[in-house]
Amino acid sequence: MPGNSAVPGNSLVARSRLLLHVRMLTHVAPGLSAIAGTLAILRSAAVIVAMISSGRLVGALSVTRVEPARAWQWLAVCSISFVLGAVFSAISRGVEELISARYLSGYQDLLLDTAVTPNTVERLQSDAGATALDQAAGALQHWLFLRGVGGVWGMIAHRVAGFGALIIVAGWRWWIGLPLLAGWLVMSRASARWRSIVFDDTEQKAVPLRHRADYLSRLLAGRSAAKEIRLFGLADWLLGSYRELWRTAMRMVAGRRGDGARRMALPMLVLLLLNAIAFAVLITDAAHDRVSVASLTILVQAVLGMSALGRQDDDETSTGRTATELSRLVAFRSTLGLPFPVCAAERPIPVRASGAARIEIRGLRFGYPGGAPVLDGVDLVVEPGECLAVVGVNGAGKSTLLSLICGLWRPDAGTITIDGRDPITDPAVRQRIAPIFQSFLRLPLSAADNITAGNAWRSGTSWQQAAAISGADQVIAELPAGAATPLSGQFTGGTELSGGQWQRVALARAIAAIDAGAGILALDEPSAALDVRAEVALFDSVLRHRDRTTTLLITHRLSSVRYADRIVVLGSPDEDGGARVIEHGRHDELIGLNGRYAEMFRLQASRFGQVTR
Amino acid sequence: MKLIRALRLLVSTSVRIAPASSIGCLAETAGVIVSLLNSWMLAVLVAAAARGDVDRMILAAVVLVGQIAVSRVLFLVGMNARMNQLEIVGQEFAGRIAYITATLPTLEPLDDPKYLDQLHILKEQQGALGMAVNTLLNQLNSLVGVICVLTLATAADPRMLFVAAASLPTVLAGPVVARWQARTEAASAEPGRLAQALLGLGIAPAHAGEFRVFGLAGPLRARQAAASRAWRAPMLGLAIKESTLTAATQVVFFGAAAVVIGWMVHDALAGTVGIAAITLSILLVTRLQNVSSEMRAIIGQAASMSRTAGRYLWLVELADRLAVDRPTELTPSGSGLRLSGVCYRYPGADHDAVRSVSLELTPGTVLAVVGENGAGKSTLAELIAGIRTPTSGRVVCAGIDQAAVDPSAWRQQVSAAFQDHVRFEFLVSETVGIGDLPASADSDLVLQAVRAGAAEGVVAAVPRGLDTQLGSAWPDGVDLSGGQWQRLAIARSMMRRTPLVRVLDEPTAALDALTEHQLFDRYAEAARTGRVSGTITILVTHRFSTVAAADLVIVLDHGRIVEQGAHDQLIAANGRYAELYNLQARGYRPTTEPEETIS
Repeated sequence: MPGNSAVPGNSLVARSRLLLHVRMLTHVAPGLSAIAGTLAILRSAAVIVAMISSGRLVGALSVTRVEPARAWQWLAVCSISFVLGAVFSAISRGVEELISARYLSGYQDLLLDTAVTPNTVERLQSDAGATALDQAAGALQHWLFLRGVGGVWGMIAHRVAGFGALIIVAGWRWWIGLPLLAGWLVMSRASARWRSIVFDDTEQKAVPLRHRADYLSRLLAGRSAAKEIRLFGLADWLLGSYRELWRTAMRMVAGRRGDGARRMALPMLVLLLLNAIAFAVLITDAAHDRVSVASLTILVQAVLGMSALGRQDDDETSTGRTATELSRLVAFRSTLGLPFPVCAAERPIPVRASGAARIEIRGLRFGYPGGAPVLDGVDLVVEPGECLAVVGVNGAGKSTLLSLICGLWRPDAGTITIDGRDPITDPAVRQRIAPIFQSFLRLPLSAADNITAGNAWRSGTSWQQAAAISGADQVIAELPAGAATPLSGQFTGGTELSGGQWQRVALARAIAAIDAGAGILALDEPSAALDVRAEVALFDSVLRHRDRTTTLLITHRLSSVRYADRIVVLGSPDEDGGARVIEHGRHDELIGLNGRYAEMFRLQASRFGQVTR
Repeated sequence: MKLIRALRLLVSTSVRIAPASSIGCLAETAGVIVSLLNSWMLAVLVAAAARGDVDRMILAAVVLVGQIAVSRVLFLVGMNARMNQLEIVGQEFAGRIAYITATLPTLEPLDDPKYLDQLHILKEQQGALGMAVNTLLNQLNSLVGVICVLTLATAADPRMLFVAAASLPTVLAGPVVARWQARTEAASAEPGRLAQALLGLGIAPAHAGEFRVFGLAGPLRARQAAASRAWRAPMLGLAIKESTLTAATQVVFFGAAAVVIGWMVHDALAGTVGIAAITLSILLVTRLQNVSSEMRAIIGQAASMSRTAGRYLWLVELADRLAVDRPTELTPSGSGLRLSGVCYRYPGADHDAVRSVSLELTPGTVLAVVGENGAGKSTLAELIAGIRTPTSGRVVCAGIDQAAVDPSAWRQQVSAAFQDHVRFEFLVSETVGIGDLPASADSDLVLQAVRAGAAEGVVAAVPRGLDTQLGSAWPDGVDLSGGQWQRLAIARSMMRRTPLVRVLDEPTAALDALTEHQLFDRYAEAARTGRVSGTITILVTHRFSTVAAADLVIVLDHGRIVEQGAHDQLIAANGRYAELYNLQARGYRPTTEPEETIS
């Protein structure tokens, strides 16, 4: 995962992350987690019992006066513990798979909730927010994260087995058991740090190089650049740059890994010493008959078995990674004021209104965070039922204005109200808008679902009426399974629609929203990618139904705005600075004004050989 | 056999690229062998203790302790080497795969449904071959471990081989479980894709508005959760079946082990089997159990490894098969562009996208290609650019037949800006300069192209001019608007100063009035200089405003030329062209009838 600099140097932090991870596990699968945890403990118990009974068996066979009954007894216990341990392992593997699947579903839900629940998008689309979401989504593709989801159970089993061994050793000589424990814990930290370096892109200088290399390889292998690569012959150049970047990155990373490995030398020496002491004492005791052969067998296995306490294997590393990613997402959520664990999905709030809405904007000033003001001093009132066209040059802030009306961003100054209520604080009034954006939502669901999305899939919504008005019924009639056809080639029975066909579906969606109570039809550059006929059909449909709603039409192609009731021109009076309403009125008035609008119109119309006065 | 080819590919590439690390990886294998001394020395120690042989006990203890250290060091070194190796090899293969895909002569394989799945997997799993190397090394370690364990066990007591044999059911259960897993994967693939797709849409910044305004936040989560549940559903059955089968095979194994050990205990009680042997045997039981699961893993991974490597080899073979061996020398023997009966059908389609198009253009002509969406305009542009090969018919330019020369040589003589152009996130000078790679280092030439493409405004708008990094994902990178990207794409197409043909596809789709106007001026100028230098300019558009600059217009409908002529001729003819033109132009005409609907 890119830019992941979470080296578990601080074990307290690591522990709290692990606890969060366990909370998540118990939240998504409480019963199964209890079973998995119990099985993990039982597995380790079986291992300990097997260790003890095998020692006793050997002991029973090596005494001078062998008692066959005891030998058979211990063989029976040993066999049963082996069998039980194996059966518990088999069952727990299945349980763990089920828990992991639920965890992944839960994680996806957490991420989705984070992205769609906050009212405004400032924090989500800031640099930090976008990175957080990207990383959380990227984790789902990363094998280390996926591996770590179910790693905690193995960790539990190993730690319990290790503690069992510790108890056995400490029961013999506590002053050997406890230092060994300390030695293995230190070794565990050093191991974890080294493994983190190995699996991590902590080499800060190498990270951007790798990103760049990945970008180049995606360009080369992908479909999007295929034409230009062949046309301009770019393959060799791209490959050369890719190799260069990657080689440089690897050199940095390999160096750091070597350093990390060398730093394990000291803990290893210490452990070696402690083990040597343990064995020396053990042998002395055995030589002086202070421990029996049975105990010797058990104790040697236990001393070696304490390594389970210092174990840092794929289970541990991957679990650490998963826990880190989860805690990062949870921390981001808390900056947004969202709880963990996530609440159940709410039912959509009903839109308790109908009919055309009134929009009032006063003294609006807004700039994206870290940028210059895009809008500065916009005053606008849109009466119910009015059809208003908003025009201006590219980048003038027309789309931004719509985002603000939708309540996505908080204005720096000024107010926006729909029917007198603020869309930011009042989510219900937000639903009074029925938008068709330039790149509108194409859901990989059925055609019917795409349309009824306009009414948030409330039960009882019918798509037929909206489809008939928008012309989408013709599109649906041609689909293999009618309205139930998935509108994505990725799914069986699914089909891809053309731009014009999708346009009709999007319009049907907006009309469904209007039927459900929306009062503003907002069109943002709706015809940018359409051919002539589709564009004409779209505007005809829109104009036919304008009395039911207020219509906002944002465009830079002036051929379509002439039939609006009113036109406002957004622009800045000087060259920089935020935009505001610089001209407004009907088409003829604006042409007569001979200002910005007239100039733009003349430019566009001149190509058709028709120049208006 | 596929597996052997896979092994040979992985090992030879691995050794050739990083010989030192390759050897370092073997340290891990050595570590596996050393760690097995564990059990052996323990048995020796216990037996020596039973006999009271202190010297032997000390020796065994020393070896035990030493083994701990040595095996740890070997593992450390080996794992370090393995992680480096898997990345080095992975990246090398990723680069090769990407390069081979990018240098397949034409676009057809990338669109052919026959190849799509494979190509998609290759693209998605570019690091898979690196992981295959990792798997190979793990398998080697497992195999060596298995052999050592079996050797040790047999040395302890030949009857242990029965125990080893009792692990066969576990091995045999492997393919059965693999089949179940594949079936489960197939059943959960689609719901899983849907869950992913819905999640992706929910996170995308572009759709944040729609989800909130339509009140879809909660319902989307519910839908996504339902898809996720459907994804999970087949896993319950799999988990139960897999657990039961595994438990059963384990019971068989440990039951057999109990019987064999019991037999040995009987002999030990009778005095014919020593303490060392029986201790070692008991300690090796768990290792022997792992033998079976490791053998299963080896076999299972071998299959996936040869599948992964096989995909790469398939790509190499495909590239060889599709390679064209035609002359790269161009010998012009005429002038102008001629298309004779050019037809094109997309792979797997049931009708032609371009039907028998014939055209003759003299050098310096400016041609406008109009038509509705799906009429075949962009396909025609790609055919002329030599990125697609006509299924029948000939494309001849300056007397050179496209089918008779190497595709890359043909493309050198063409320049284009496509409708779905790529937003190359390089420096501005590179993004424009790659239009003519050899000339891209010369900033004067790049600036000329920028001017020709009406993109000076873009260069002026970014903080560091030509040296600005594009794409906000990169440090110091900036984002551009759709219109700015398009102007850079057009500037890129202007880098080749005098191509035989220049194709500009839908160049003004997302520009505002002022920029459209400026661009239009530049086209007119480029067309004029083109007339001087002999470049044929082809403008593909459905915006009729651009058509005014052209000498000749062709109207495409369902891949066929239905009208052809100069603008005024076609208007007078009152056919399809006139109808479409008037539809668009009516918005700009003065009229007292605000509502006009099409019939």
